[in-house]
Amino acid sequence: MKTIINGIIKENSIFVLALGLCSSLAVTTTFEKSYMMGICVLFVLIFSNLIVSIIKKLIPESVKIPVFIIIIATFVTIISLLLEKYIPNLFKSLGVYLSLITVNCIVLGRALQLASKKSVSESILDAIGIGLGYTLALMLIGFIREILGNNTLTIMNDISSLTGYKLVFKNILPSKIFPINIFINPSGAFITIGCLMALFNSRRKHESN
Amino acid sequence: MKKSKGILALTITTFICTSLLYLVIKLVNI
Repeated sequence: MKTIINGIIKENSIFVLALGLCSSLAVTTTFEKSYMMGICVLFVLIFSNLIVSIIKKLIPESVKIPVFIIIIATFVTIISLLLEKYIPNLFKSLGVYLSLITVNCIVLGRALQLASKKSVSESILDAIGIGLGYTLALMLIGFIREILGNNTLTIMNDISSLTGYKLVFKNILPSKIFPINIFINPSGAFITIGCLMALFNSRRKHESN
Repeated sequence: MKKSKGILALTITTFICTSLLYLVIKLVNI
């Protein structure tokens, strides 16, 4: 449990380690895309860490990175194929960022730093913690960006082909001021992440003192 | 010796990963 909480708060991949920012800037335009991207990364992290920690002793040091990339790319391909078949709309809207999970610093970094050194259970718990931390961070960013930048909150729209339900809230904030279009642009993503990072770190420092 | 061990590890990983992908494609009927 401590490892999971550590991954969510102390080693949060976006707000503390500042890893995987590229995809988090690009996909957080809607709340739905944010949490689905988080779930995809969580899936890839758990399975790649599991396999890497099982076969760590068989891999020579010189080919560690290529072998890890092959393993990660396999799981990314599996999740891409599944999304393409069952949730094609989401597959289209996530686009290239889904395939780019392969070279995401969080996934590769965790495989290299942790899963190749620690036991199977420890590396799975770490993957769950880090993956949940990434998902929650993306959800928070997506929530703020969509409400401020679009004045809507999409909980289920693209994934309705799988769930059968659509859930989109419209005109949440006063329509005289909102939407503020900058929040949907990449610059808005930088502003949102910057503010959240500052808030998160000041709170963390306050608690450690 | 070291080089051949590395190539062997890479080949085995590629084989296992490709088999896994093939299995998923067959199971899900993509």
